Amino acid sequence: MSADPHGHPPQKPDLDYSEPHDIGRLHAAVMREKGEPRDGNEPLSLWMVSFFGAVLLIGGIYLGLYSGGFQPDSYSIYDGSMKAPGGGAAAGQEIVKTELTLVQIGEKAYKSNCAACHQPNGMGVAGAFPPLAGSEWVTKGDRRLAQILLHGIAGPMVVNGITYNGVMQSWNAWDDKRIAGVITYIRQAWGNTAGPVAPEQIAAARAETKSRTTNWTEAELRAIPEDENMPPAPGAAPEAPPTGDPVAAPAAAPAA
Amino acid sequence: MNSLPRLFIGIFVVFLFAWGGLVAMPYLQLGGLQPQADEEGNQFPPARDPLAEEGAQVYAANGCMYCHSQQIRPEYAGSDLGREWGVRRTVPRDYVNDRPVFLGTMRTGPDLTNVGLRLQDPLWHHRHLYNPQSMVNWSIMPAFRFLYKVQRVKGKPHPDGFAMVGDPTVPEGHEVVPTKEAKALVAYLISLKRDYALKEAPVTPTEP
Repeated sequence: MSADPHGHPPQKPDLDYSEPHDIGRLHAAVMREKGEPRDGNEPLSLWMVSFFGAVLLIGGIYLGLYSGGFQPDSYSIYDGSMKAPGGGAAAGQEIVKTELTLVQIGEKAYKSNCAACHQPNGMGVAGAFPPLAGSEWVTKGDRRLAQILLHGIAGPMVVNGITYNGVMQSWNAWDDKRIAGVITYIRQAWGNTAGPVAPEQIAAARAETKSRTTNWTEAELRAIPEDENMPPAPGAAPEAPPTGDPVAAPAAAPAA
Repeated sequence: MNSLPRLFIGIFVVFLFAWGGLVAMPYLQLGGLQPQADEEGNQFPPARDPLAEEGAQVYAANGCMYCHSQQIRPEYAGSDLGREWGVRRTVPRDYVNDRPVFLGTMRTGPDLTNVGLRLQDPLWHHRHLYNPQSMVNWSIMPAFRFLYKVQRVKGKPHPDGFAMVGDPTVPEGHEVVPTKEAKALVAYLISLKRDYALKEAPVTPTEP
C-alpha cells in the first residue's frame, strides 16, 4: 500500500479510526494493578476464614450438645450430654408446673378422654352413650361411680330410665389423683351438686377390687346400694379441693 | 479450564456427605431394628391381628394420613404430651411392624398414635366414621358413609348394626351396618396403642 500523499499514517479499512493504536500500552498500568481473573489457588480473605470458622465452631458446639450423642436410640436431644433419659427438662431450664386443683385435673382429663363419648356438656349421645349431667349413677353414691372408672362397664345399662348398650373402658391405668379428679369434676359440673372424692378413697377402692380384670355389668354394680359412698379418707380428706364450691364442704361426711 | 473435574468432584462430595448423614447412617443404625421382647417373650410393639392389618390398608386407601399424624413429639418439641396424646414420645421402634408407616405430616385432625387407648369402644368409632359430627359436633372430618350399609331392620337387628338416632340419612326403622372394610378400619384404630415401654423410650408415671 502506498503512502498517503497528505502525510497520514497508513490505515486499515475496518478499524475504528478513533482508537489509538497503542491501547495496550495505555492500559498497561491498570492491567498490572488489577489482573484478569484466572485459575489457580488464591489466598482466602481473612474475614472469610474467621466467619466460616465461627460458623463451624458454633455449629459444632450445638451439635455436640443437642445431637443426643448421635445415638439412634436416644430418647431426648439432651441425652448423653446434659440429662438422663426420661428427665424431660433441659439443664438450666426449670419447667414450671403449676399445681392444679383436683377439679382442674379432672376437667383436663375429662375433656381429653371422656368428652368423646359423654360429650363436653355431659349430655351423652342419644341412643348410644349415657349422659352424666343429672345421671343417678353420677350424682348419688360415689362407690359405684369409682368402680365404673376403675373397671369399666359393659352391656345394657339403664340411666335415667333409658337403656344404653355399650362398653365403657376401664381407666385403671390412671393414678388415684386423676380418677378422683374426674369423679369430682363430673359430680360438680353441669349443675350436678354431689360431693368430691379424695385420691385416698380411690386408692382404697382400687385395693378392694384389685383382682378384678373384667368390666362390670349393671347387675353387679346394682348390688352396691345406690347411695353408698366410699368411707372418708383417713385424716379427714387432707386434699379437699379448694374449689370455693359450697358442696366441697361436706367432703369428709361419713358414708350414708 | 482444567478445574472443571475438581468442581464436579466437589459437588459430588457435598451430596455424598448429605446422603451419608441422611440415608446411609440412619440405615446402618436403624435398618435392622427389631421388636423388643420382654422376659415373658411378649413382643413390643405387639404384632397386629390380621383384621387390624387389613384395616391399615383401608386407612391407607382412604387417605386418613392426609389429616391424621401418628407421631408423638418429645416434650422439648411440642405440646403433644401435654395434650395427653401419649404417655411418651414415639421412637423408630414403634413403627417396625408398619408397612407403610403412617407418620403423617398434617394435623388437620388429632394425632392417632394412641387413639386405641383413648377410645376403645368400636361403637364410638363406627358412629364417628358414619357421621363424625354426631360424636363431635364441631368436627370438620368428612363422613365415611360408603363404608356402611343402611338397611331396614327386618325382625332381629343385625348383630353388628347400630342405630343413629336423629341422623337424616338413617330413616326410621333402619340400622347402619358396617362393611368388612369398616370393621377392619375400626379394628386397626383400636389397635393403635403405643403405651408400652421400650428400652430407649421409658414410660414414666404421668403426673397430672
